[in-house]
Amino acid sequence: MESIAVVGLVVALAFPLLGALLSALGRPRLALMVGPLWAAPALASLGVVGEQSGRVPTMLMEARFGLDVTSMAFLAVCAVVWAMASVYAAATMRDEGGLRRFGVFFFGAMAGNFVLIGAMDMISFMSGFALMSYAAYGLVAHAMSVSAWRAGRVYLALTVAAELALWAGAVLAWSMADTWELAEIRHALATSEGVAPLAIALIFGAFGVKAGLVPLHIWLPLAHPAAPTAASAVLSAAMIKAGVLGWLRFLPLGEIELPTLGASAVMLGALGTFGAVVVGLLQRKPKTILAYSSVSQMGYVALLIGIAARWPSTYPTALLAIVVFVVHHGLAKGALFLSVDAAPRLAFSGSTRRTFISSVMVLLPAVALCGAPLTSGALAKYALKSVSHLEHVRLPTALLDVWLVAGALATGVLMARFLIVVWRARAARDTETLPGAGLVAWAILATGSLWALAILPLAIPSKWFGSIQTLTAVWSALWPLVVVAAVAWIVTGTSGTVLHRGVGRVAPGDLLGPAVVLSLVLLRGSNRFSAFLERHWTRGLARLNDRAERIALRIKAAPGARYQLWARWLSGEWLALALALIFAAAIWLNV
Amino acid sequence: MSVLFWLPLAVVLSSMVPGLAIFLLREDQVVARTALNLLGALTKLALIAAMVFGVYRGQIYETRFPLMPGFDLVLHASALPMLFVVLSAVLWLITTIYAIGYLERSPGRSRFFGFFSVCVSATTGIALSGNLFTFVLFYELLTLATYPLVVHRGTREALRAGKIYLAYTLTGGTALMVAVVWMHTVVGPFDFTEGGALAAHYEDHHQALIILFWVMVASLGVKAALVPLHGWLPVAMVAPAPVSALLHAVAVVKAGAYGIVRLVYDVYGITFVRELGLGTGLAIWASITILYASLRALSQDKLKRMLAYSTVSQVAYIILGVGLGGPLASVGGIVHLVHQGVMKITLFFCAGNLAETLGVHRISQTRGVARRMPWTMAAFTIGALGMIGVPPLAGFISKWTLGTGAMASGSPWALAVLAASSALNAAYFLPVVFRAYFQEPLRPWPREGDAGRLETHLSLLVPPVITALLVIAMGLWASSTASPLSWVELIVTRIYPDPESGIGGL
Repeated sequence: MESIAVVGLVVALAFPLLGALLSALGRPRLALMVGPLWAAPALASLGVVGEQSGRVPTMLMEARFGLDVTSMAFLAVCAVVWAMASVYAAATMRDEGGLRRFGVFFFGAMAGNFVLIGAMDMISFMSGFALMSYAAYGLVAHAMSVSAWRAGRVYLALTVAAELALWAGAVLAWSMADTWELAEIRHALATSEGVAPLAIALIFGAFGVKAGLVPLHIWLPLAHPAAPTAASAVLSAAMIKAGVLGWLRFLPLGEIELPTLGASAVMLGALGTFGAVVVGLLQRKPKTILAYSSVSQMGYVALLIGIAARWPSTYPTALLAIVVFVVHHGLAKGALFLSVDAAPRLAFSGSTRRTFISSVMVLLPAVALCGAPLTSGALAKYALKSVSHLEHVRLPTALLDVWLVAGALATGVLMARFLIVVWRARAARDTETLPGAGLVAWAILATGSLWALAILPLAIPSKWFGSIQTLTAVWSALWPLVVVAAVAWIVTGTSGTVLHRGVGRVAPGDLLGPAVVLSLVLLRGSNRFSAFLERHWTRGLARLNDRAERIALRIKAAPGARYQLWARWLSGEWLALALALIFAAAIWLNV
Repeated sequence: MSVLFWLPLAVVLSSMVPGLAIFLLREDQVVARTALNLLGALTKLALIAAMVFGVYRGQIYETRFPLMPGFDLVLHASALPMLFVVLSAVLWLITTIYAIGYLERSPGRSRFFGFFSVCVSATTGIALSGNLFTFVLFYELLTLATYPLVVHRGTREALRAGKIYLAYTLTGGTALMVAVVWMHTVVGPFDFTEGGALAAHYEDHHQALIILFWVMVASLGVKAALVPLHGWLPVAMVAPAPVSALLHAVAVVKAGAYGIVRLVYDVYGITFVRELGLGTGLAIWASITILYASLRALSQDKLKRMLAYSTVSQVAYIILGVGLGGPLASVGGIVHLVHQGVMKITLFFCAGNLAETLGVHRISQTRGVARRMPWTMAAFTIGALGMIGVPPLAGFISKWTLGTGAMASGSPWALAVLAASSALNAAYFLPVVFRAYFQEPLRPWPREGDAGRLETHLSLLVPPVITALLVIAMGLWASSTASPLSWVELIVTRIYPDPESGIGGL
């Protein structure tokens, strides 16, 4: 019975591949329009299969699939985001420019994302991860413009590197555990002996690429603006979460103290949280700003991972906080990405009512991301706070509090910048109207920060809920918003501030520029060096050749009989035989 | 003498007889030729299917004729030979279908299909040979039967390639023959034995056996295209696509690799090889080949030439797995024999389709070709991703087993080699895929084949699609009993004599 359920789960997770097939056969718009249909089996499996896992002994390397509380939350949010993005793509994308190709890659990535969520062994996880990562290239490079190609190249280079690191890390982990099952891999890696630290580092880095961990985030700010809107929504809302799930699945969090990993994750997380905001503020394109916001938000997740790695006893709480964060950020960020395209479309028709609706739908996820009261954002913020206030976390409480407040303010400022950019762009486009289906998809994601609160209680302690509904909690969530709004008002009013002058000075992909320059310099150096070697090599060869020719000339000049003898000796066979015999004798004598 | 006695010989003859019959046909007897071809291929498959079940249950089939004292002609079907026979039979059937479409309007088809069948018989003979003498016999037959296929087009370039091919392989074959005679004088006549035939002799002849090992590896390495003996392979890609496909996937290159596999497992025996300390040298040689050929492949513009360098690199994976020693690495190496074959044949079919339908021979001409030939390029993409080792495709299974085998046998450096090779594979395969899907064609195709409703002729389109599906299936159902991986695990449990040493992780 169990095995039937598990096989059913695998089929449900891979079901979107049928959508890819339908697209390949030439009906991409239909396939995209019925996007929820492809996601429905995955959603249904949440209820039907429930918390269990089992083997599919003939698949891959005795694959194990199943669901637990964590993966159920991931699957739910990913299924919703993918379904809505699919509908939105069907409603808004044009026919020309390879919609068929888009459909194939879109559903391929969707299936990969679902499969990796249900995977309970390394090989299945890596299979889903690879399918998702490689198919997503098709989404990034879809526009076939120079910027899309560049974004795709950076994305692909990092993806291949991450795949290889993951492969190497997984092989090392296997050599310690002697099994593919992720549960036992975590046990086996829970040691600081042998190759475990190397394996952990490789795996952390590999998933860090996907999760936008600084400094591996450089593909994100390039890929998001390049991809079509629906694709950037799933990239940011669903796919980068796969990196987070990878961390949770592979790393021995909560089993052992990992000081190095903890320290580096906390530092990189903090760097991402604030650094990405600073760089994001200086960007012009709304999608780039959102991409930096994703890097910043993923910084929080890295921070939580770091805390759990440093103080293992905090893992259960940190895990809950991560789940809350993933659901919250997935829905809100998906909505925000759609709004970049959808809001101008809706506002275009000119009626005040529509402009109002679109403003609300842009604002709601934006303020939720800043932690507005009575949204999922407040819950996420509270979750962060309760992890950092656990007694095992031996960081100064004051520092953490300041850090949290500063983080909220930074997020707020970045969102304000995003809202201003979107607002300014509202009339500048030769926009089309927003079809009804697109509006529905957008609305479902945009209100996610509210309805998610109704679903999350299944997994979350009720204390967290109680505490975001108190008046003090509402106030403490509200005042950063007010401050941010005020600051934004003042800054937009004035001109010539540092911010105004800085905009556009940092290219999207911040560290990419210097990295490219550095590698070009290195490449030039190595080219020069190899040219140097080659010159000497060819000169040496030429000299040898000269000498050989001189000998040949002398032989040709020799009188008849002697010439014949020499010529015979110099013909290939004799020479080869002689050499072989000498070689054989040499080995014989030396062994 | 029972029917079972004749079975291995019947498998060899099932392609030899139709092949010889095809020589007698006139050029225009298309139906008769096709019927003979398919009849041979299907008969062979049926015979093999019967044998596979027997071998799985532990039955051994053997045909033995004494030719002269001490030299028996032995055809012997145990688990390892069956793997190679099944691979060659299945791919022969698919390639025959492909070749019928590919050579539809070109001259000399009777000659082509005749030699094609002889070539496959020779491969089967190599696979089934039960001692070194029989092996050498079929090995030389293969060399000679392949030559007319390489020069089939008759152009100057093809003739030159044929000359180079003969120079390399005949020298290698001669060296092999000398080595085999030498070995017979040293240890006397013997048959291939699972677990190694020489184990009993090693007391007195250490040095001779070490030298013989390297001479034989080098002479087999000519066909297996180990650097620096690989020079003929990139040149021989002028042959028609079905020939290149078979050459790279099962026939010539694989014959060399398979020879080395048998040399290590069935002649010397893995424990003896380890004792003599030969494995590490083999693994290092393979690693150099892997990296060097991948680097060379990076700078190629001709698609088939790039694929040829990729073959050089990928076949060395097999040698690497053999050289690393240890059960898991052996599984990785031997299973790659099959996986590489199916992936590479897919890629060559696709390259052939591009050349035959659109006249596209160069990577720089493939811009936007996916829109014109979506199914061909989809198959190509799967083959390429498999080569890179993307899970869950067949190439990943080999790479994974090789990697874990490297760890299990205490050679973690091989992980770096495999990772570097994968990165290089990605660097030369992905640009082709990228061009095909994400760029617009700059000018019209060099030649526009008339294909009707489909993107190309049906018999050109179906083979790569089938093999691409096989690439997926072999990875996705790697642990089902019918998969190559399971069969190789069966082989390896029989190769490794000591059950205590375990075959960890299987």
